[in-house]
Amino acid sequence: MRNAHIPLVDRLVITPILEWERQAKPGNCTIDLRLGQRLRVPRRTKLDCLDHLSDDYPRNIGRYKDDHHVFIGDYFVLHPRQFVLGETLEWIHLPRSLGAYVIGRSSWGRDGLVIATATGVHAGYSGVLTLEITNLGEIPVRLYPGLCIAQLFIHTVLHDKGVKPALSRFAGATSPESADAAADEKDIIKRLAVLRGLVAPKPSE
Amino acid sequence: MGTREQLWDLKIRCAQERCQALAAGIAGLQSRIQTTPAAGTVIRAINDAVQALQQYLGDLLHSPDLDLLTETELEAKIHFAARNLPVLYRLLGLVEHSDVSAVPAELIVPLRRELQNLFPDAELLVVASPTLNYSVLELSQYLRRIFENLNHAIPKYLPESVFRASIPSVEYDQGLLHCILAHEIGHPLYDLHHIEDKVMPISIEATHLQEAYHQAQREFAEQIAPGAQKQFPFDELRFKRYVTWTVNEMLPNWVQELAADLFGFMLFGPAYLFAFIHFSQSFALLDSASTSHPPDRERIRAMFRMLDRMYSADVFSQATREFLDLWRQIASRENADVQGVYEGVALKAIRDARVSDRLIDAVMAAMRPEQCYNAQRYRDDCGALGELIDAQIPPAEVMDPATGQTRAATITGILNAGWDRFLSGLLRFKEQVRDGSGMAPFDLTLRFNRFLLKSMELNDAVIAWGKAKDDIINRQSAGPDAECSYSPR
Repeated sequence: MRNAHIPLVDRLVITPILEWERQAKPGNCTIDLRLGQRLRVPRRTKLDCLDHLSDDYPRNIGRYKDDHHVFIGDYFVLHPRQFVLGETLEWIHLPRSLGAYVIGRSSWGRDGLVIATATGVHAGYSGVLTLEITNLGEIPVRLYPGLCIAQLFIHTVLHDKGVKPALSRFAGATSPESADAAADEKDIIKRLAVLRGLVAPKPSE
Repeated sequence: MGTREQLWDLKIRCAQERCQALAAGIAGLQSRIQTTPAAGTVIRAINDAVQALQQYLGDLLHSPDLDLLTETELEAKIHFAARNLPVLYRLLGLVEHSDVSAVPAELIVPLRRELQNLFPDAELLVVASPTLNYSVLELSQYLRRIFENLNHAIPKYLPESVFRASIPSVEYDQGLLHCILAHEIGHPLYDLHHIEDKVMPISIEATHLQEAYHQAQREFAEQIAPGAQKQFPFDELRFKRYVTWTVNEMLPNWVQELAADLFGFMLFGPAYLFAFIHFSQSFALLDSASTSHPPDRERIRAMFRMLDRMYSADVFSQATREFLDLWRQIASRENADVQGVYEGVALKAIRDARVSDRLIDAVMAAMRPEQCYNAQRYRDDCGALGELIDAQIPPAEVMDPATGQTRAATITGILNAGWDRFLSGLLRFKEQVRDGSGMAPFDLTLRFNRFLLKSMELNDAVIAWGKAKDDIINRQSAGPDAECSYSPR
């Protein structure tokens, strides 16, 4: 093996690649990724809205979605304007020197399918990629786990010497994951709102 | 309508209502996505049995011969069919919680493949049960009996055996602990290979029986007539027979459990031993025994005897060796505190080294080498797959360094490499997880288990994809007539 001397954590690993010739076509700068078997479907009946500043957000996010396991060979029907979280079948392990972008494939895009909206994959990421899938078309589309649905563009990343990049909050994801988008700045925005008089302070303040 | 007619009319109509309720329950289950085809097969068979029963009851209701029967005969005739209702209810309940939302499909799909390597005509379904226990039950026999009772042909789609295994629902994603299922596969293997015939009879020392007899006599007398032992009328012969009978009934059960452990060890390797210790010692006493199960210490001791035959110490990592040394010591201690007189006698009989050897020999002889996990595989898996785990890369497939080609790992390889790293404290894996060092041990364990389940899912994708590809090639080479068509439901 050519890179046998490089430690595994410092190597680019994509596993499994079921059809090497089909997924990594010679001359292309991308690797095709397949749809995985887990889908998270929003449950609309219990929550009035998703509020990332709410203290209950981390608890509510679990209630807000239903998990579906769709076997390879079976399918999931995505209706017009429906949004689901999917995952790539492949586990992507990027060394700290590589970043990536995941985007849809044009053949699906022409049916109205948007595969990913937050497309950046950070250097050092290891896990399945969560896909934000929406059907923008007019007719329902069957999603088949195992079919190539996205493509990954990989690029080098330059770091300042000696700086170890932080791990993504989604690192190690084994299924489509949601996260608190405002987690780091929730307190500041809430405080700012109080100072501006937009919301009343809590009685204890 | 007379009382007699009213009675049988009511009985038949009520039985028919139960059938309709069952049919509605079946319809509810049919819409779920099951982890293996077995649940669908069983539900279909229950449905067919319900329809056959409804048909039988309907025919009975309009039968012209009923007037010839006495009231008792008539009731017996209805009961002959209606007695299947509780069994059908139970069977339907037994396949509940076998869908993908209740049990880990990632583990069960490859487990089914492992089972079919041993029993080609068998099917597996796994359900989540609310008890902290693993169990196995063969369902096909009950369905066959129902169809026979109803004079109905046994459906051709019903497999020879349908094994229903249960796992604890609360911990459904604890992949490492689910190695216990290997023990459950051991039970049908025990029957298949007639292990009992090869191990029994086990001789019981007369002096041990005597001791047990006197002890039981004392305890019995104390319970019945405290302070008046001498006056207590005692049928000595009958009591002696009871003591012997109890011990003799216990021994085959214990042999079966020990053999299932040894089969589990043969199938899953040390991963089964590790899982057994972690699972059972979380809630059970080491020296607690029952009529069905020997003390855990004895079970662990038997597995260590097999481990020492098959694995040399240098196969294991330092941390695993330390774990094994500790438990070897614990297992070798005397079972001083075994509760129960009869259990004590049974234990003395079964602890005889000749019995253990006979049992281990019988189990080893029953398995083909390719069905067994072994030291070489353990060493290779912990090396190649363990390295992937350390880097937080799912050990679903391994690359051959010489050719650059990948090959699928095995479920047993993933579990053994997983246990090896788990026993080593997941030191390297932790480094790859965000905030891994500060994570609570249980959270890290859970994360690791989910990672292993993901590995099994990817591993299954590789294997299933390869099989489908081979199948296409085989069909193409067999000519155009062998082409298959695909029409999704």
